[in-house]
Amino acid sequence: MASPDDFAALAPAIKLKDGAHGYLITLAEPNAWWKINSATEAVALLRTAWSELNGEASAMPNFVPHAILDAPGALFVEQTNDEAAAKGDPVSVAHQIMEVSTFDNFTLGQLHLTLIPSSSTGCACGPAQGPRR
Amino acid sequence: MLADPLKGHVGEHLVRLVPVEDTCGNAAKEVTALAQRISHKHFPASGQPLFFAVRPELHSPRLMDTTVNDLVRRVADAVPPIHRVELSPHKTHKTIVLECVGQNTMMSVVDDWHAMHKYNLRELRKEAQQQAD
Repeated sequence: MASPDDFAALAPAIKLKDGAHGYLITLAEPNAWWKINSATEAVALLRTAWSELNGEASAMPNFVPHAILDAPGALFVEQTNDEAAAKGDPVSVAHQIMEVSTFDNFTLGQLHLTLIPSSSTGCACGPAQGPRR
Repeated sequence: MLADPLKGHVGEHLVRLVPVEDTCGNAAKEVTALAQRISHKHFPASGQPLFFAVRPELHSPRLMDTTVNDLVRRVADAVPPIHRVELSPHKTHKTIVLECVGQNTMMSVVDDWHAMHKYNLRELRKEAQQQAD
């Protein structure tokens, strides 16, 4: 499950470090609300997929979201902790996520309520408002 | 609690989630070096020839089409010559995904780029819903 720490890690970056591996997230709307929820959702999906692939007891890598400043519609979730990451490459983890039927018991609603940011993120939206369609 | 992820909750805030095996800047030399690293991992210099495609995706308005074409050519040239470019999705064994995001270049090699709808969660969900109906 994602934790509030993931949120704090939504760090802005113009240039990512070379040799990083992880996941590129494309947002439907490049606004702060969407970024935060996308990061939350992506980290939760990645952790669930990781557990599906490697078992609950396996060491979990860190999934660190970065907002890329010069590409507002994109997020990069970096997969760190090489020891754990060696067990699952991003391609297999992403492939697992695409198999949406494995996520029958996914509790995204709970995650949203847990992870809606405090004022530190600068997001004025709250969970009751949600994204505008 | 989500009873059925196909009903529009999983991937609510995400459009695409693309695996990234390696990253670098967007200078031509850097992209060439990255393509060689990726190619070495996925395309053996001898053995069974593979059909591959390079699929660039732009998330940076500053990149010109000519620049992108040059990057695509550099990536294709990094693959050992026994393997051949094949643009027909049904004949391609591997797809080199090239994501140009701001000042960053991200790359990965996947087998199922088209079957997975370019790793677009919404498209996959739509297809699953159509099949369920």
